[in-house]
Amino acid sequence: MYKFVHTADIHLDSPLRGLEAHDDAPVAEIRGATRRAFDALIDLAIDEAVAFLLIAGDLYDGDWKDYNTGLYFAGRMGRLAKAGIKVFIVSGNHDAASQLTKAMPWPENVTIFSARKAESKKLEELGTIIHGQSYSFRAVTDNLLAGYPRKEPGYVNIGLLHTSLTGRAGHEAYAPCTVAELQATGYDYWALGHVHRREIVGVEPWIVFPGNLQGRHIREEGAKGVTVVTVEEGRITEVQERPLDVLRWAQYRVDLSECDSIESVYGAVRQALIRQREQADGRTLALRLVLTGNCPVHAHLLARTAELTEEFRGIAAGIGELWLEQVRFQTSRKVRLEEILGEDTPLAGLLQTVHQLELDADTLLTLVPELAVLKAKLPAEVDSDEEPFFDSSPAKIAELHAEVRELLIAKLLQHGGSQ
Amino acid sequence: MRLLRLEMRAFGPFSDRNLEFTTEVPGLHLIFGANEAGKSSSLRALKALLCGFPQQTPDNFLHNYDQLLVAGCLRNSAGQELCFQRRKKRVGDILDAVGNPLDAAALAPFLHGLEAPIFTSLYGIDHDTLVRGGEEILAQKGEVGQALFAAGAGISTVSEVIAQLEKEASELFKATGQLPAINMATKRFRELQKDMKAAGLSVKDWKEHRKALEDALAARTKLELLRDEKSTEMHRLERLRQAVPELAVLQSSREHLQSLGEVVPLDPDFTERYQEVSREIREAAERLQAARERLAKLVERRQTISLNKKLLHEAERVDDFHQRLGEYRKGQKDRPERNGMRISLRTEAGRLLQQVRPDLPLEKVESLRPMLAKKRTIQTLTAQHVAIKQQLAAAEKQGRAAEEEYRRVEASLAAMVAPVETGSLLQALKPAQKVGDLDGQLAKSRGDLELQKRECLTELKRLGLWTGELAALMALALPLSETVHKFVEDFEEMSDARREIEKTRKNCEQEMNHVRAEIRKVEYTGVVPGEEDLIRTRAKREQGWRLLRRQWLDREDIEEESREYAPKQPLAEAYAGYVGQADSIADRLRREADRVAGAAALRARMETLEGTLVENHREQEVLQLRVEEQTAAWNAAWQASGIVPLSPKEMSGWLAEIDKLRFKGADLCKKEEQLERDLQLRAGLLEALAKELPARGEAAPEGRALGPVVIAAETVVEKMADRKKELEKFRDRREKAAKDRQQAAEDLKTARQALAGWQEQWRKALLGLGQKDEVTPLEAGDLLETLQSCFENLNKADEMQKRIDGIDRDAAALDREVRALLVMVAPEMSALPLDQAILQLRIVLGQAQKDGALYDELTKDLNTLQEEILATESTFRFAGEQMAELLHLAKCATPDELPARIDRFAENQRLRQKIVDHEENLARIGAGTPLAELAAQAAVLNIDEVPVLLEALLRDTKERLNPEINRLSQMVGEENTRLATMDGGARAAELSEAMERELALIRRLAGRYTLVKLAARVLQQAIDHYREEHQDPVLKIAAGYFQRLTLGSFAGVRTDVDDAGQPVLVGVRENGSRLTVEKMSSGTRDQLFLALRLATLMWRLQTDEPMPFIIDDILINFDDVRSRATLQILAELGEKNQVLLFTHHRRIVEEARQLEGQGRVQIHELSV
Repeated sequence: MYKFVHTADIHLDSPLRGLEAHDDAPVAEIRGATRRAFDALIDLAIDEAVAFLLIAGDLYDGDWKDYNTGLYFAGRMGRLAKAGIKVFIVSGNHDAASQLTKAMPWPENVTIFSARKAESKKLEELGTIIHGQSYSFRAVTDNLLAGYPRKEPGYVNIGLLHTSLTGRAGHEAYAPCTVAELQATGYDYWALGHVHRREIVGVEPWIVFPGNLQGRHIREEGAKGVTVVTVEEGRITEVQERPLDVLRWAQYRVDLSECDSIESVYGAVRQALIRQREQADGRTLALRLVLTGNCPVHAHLLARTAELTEEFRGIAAGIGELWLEQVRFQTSRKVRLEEILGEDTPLAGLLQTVHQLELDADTLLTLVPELAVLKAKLPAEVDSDEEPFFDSSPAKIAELHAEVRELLIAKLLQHGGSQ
Repeated sequence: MRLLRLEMRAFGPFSDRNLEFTTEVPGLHLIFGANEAGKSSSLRALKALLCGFPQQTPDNFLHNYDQLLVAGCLRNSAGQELCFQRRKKRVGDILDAVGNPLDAAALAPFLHGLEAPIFTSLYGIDHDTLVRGGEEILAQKGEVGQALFAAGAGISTVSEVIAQLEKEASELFKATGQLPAINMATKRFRELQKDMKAAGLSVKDWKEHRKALEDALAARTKLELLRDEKSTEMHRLERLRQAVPELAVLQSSREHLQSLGEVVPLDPDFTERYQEVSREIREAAERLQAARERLAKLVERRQTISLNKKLLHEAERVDDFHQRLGEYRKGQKDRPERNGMRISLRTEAGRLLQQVRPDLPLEKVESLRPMLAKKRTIQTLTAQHVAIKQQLAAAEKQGRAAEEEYRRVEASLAAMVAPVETGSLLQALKPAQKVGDLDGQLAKSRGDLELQKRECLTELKRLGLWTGELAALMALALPLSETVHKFVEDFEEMSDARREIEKTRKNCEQEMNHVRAEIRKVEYTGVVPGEEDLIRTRAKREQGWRLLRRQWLDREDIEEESREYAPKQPLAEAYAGYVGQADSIADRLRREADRVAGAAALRARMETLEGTLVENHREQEVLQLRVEEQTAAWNAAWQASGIVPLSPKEMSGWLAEIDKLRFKGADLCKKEEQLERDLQLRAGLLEALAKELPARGEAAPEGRALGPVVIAAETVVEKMADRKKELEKFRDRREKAAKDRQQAAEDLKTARQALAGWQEQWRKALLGLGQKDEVTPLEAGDLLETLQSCFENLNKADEMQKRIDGIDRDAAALDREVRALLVMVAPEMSALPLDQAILQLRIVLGQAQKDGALYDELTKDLNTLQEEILATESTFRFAGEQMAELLHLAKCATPDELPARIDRFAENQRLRQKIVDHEENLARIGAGTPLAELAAQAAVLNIDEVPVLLEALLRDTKERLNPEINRLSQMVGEENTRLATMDGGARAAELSEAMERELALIRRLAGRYTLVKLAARVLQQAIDHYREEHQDPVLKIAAGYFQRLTLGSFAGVRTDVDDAGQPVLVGVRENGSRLTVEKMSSGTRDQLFLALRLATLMWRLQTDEPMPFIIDDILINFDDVRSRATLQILAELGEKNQVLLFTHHRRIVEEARQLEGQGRVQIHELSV
């Protein structure tokens, strides 16, 4: 009987995104999260005396060039070597071209599969054979599976592959292949990588995406970790999920329909934060709070978003180990403004103007030329594929409409009334 | 919508205070309250009713939060009415008129879900808003758009909002600048980016440093090897230089040893032992001599001491005598004193006996001692005697008192009167008491009945539509409430339908106008070519081409046809013309496709709308028919009652009220019957009582009231009961007195028997005293005390005698013992008296003890000295034996030969040691080189060349090799340090995380900047748009108001263009001159704002449901004439839109009174 660990998509030293710094933020608690999660993985491997560790691609981020990351990784491999644990690695789309891998003098326990063709490594003492092939460049669109060796009878056959299978939402389609093709190889376990959400694609044979080791932004929410596999008498007998993340991401919608004062909003938010914090398995939590509901204090909330965000952060700091990633104000009025404001009032006209506003990137720049200046002055990193500077998705535009409308109504009425 | 009634049931200072707004038109309503009279409270109550209570209100000082209650009735333009109440509650705050929860949706047709701030802004104005509005007009320099927008929305600070948005934007970002938040964050981001690049480690760097380290290490190793070789040679030369002198000394020592020849070998400690033994022999001889002399002296001294050994043996007894001597001397002193005391005690005893029994001598006193044993008996008897005497006296006193009481009670009983029987009277009285205050109840019932009857009739009159008596009302045939309800629903449904039809028609017409305008617009820009035009032209072109083709290719004559095709042109030109035309049409069709399609769509829409309008008209007619049918049915339903009905909704209310009245009527009849029954009951009770009273000596009071008769009867019953109770009480007392008298007689008898018994015991107890006369208990006590004292004195005298005997016995014993000792140890002192003999004996004993001690000490010293002499003699012998052994070892015959033999042996030893030392030095210098090799190397070496060779080697090492090795070591150190910093640290990664945090901030701020900028732009657009649409009609209305509000000082207001080309407002004088807003007085600007505000309100009435316009004391700074002009304008506005003016200025009310009486102005005065 022996055990092995299957991990992938570690993206070592890639930073956590979307967490804005502020005074009470638990910066120290999340520093070097990918490294600390990886350290936990090394501890787990040594504590459980596993036979080997499989890394199914994307160990590094492609454009990350700091050799310190490689040195750190080599150091950890040295620890595994002392404990007699072997390591098998294929590179994926993110680290295919990484200099870090190529320049490093590896300890003997580390095997990096060739990118030219699929290879097999036999572990006679375990009766196990591992097949794998690395990516030679970033966008491998061929089906690599075609070059994998035939099943070796009398051994436990494990395939190591970085693939998107037939496509997964939010992930580029690389090294495509089908589940049926994987099943046809007759291997006992397919250790896959590339998809960041944990998924057991099949059990006969086992086809597993372990998910990434540490979530790095709000789209990677929930527990993250590795898969520990037990092999007994030439058969896979157990496949276990082990969460190892240091920081956990979550989104939570708070319904404020029952809140009739700002104080009760604080109360509802506090309760929500405490509940979410309790559900984070003792990890520091990066939380996106979405406020919803037909809310009696909707107008008050919208008029004070910045101030309230600060207040909520204060509450989060009081609870501790909690980072408020974003607060989204998506409450609505009990009665639609159009109904209240009649047909022929300036405010009704204002709503009409907002309603008719077209907000694609070009129109926005024509309407507010200063935005072109702003964009030019900002770091290029602000405008990425994942988060464009002008997001013209229908949802975003609807959100912007609502924000403009509520901001103006709040500002105007605050100054209009005498009481 | 207009307000019909405002009820402040529990609010602020008010409890159940109602305001009825009863003008025919919506009207102008002045709500006047002096200071503290609740003007502000009533304004808040109105807002609370319409928009709900705010979370906190100052109006809870009289009524608690949970009691606050306002109510009111509203009517909207469709004629619907709604009465409801509102409480201060979060949920379910709206109640209907009778207090049942009401869904908030019921208010929607009247209030459209208004929130308080929006309501205040859209439908209200107060003094502050007016003044700020005036200031705002100045601040924006009369900019038309903003002024209209502000006045229309009731928002006085539009320019401030725009400025705020721009300010927030500039705090977020500026194209040039360091301080705005985004600029700062971007700067931080770039700095972090720079740091991160510096902190990162490239693969190339790492490899270069690894190689440099390895090269330096190899070069250093090579040089170190060379340096080691040089060092070895230097050491060899240095050794030889040191070895040469040592080798010379070694040679000479070896030769000297040779010359000494054979020596007797001695132990290493031989010399020491020889010296020790010589010293011991000498010292032992000296000590022996001294000890023998001291022994002779001690023996002589001991012989001079003599000793009394017998006395020393008896030392303990002598000490004992000396101790007993003190006791002896005290006894001799006390003896005469004690004898005197013994005699006086016996004399006192004799005197006391004399008092008791003068006839008895002291010697026979013992015969009286038994009496002392009876002391206790006599004391007990004395105490009993006192108790018996007291019992006797008490029994006699009680007997007398009981006799007296008995006589008094007998006399009272004889004087009392007997009570009379009351049974039948009580029987008549009880039912009367049970009914209680029947008189009062009857009077109240009668009064209530009358009152309720009157109320019912009044209510009936108030309801109207029918007159008659209550009884007739009960019998009146009326339709069922369900029937009426059905009619209400039908009528409402029809009303809704009518409104719907009307709305559809209005929309339709509006849209038709719009579509018509659009069609005209399209048509004015040129006739739109159609698809058919293109087909036609293309056909013509094709025809031309076929002709040309026939003429050109087939050479046909087509003259005829071509003339027909184009009569005025040659065929080719005509064809070219059609080609051009077809292309042009096709181009236009493509280019103006939108317009073409639009025009078609507009026409289609127009047709649809016309169809809708016809349908609408038909629906209206059908509805009208149904209304008439339903109205007829409605009137028929009421025919039986002879009532001409109002609308079903009104009749529904009326019927509910009438039902209540009919219910009340039935209740009244029941009450009347009950009253009659009660009157009969009272008469019966009166009669029964009146019959019973005279028989008991009381006359019945006159009249029909029951109360006085009951009181008289109760008085009689109580009097008889009192009398009976008194008689019982006296009988009980007589019985008790008889019992007491008998008890007293028995007690007296018992006491006398006890006295006789006591006297017998007393006599027996005193028998032994031998007294001739009778003794009283007091005397007996005294005698016994005296007798006891006598015996005590005798006892004490006996005690004294015993002590004297003891003293004499002790003195005799001492004397006997002392004399016996003296005979034995000191016969010469036998003649001395006892005390002197003891003292002398002690002195002699002390001297003998001192002598004994000295003798013992001398004996001890002698013994010690003799032991010492024996030991010294032994030492002396042992030393002699040792000396003999030494001589034998050194092979000497006498002790005198020994010193020379010792010296020669010592010289031999010294030389050997010296050779060993030098050999050791050479071994050390040679550092492992054998001595023979060292000597061989020294033999071939020229010692004078050595320093030169050494100097050369040292210089090469120091000046060439060492510096190079140091340089390489430093390099190794540097490279190691550098590589140690390349430790896989996470600094670059951490900086990259910090960059992400800045990016997140920048993203959020940039989003906010976009929002704020966009909002400012949108607001400006909305303002422009509002101006474009409303400028002309609203300014026209405003001009009229402005003229009247300024009392003709201005002829009106219009737009002009300022220096910057912006449209601005200007005031126009009668003579046509224009005045910019900057040149107007602040009051005039206020009036301009008011004129615009009222004008927008007036304009809005054309499209929107009117809402009450609420004015809070804006006239305080207006003079009387202007106030009147303003009120006049408001009254006119009130004809279409309800105006509620809250004020606490009596002056304004007085002004308003001038306008009253036209059915459009109503004044409401508040007082708490």
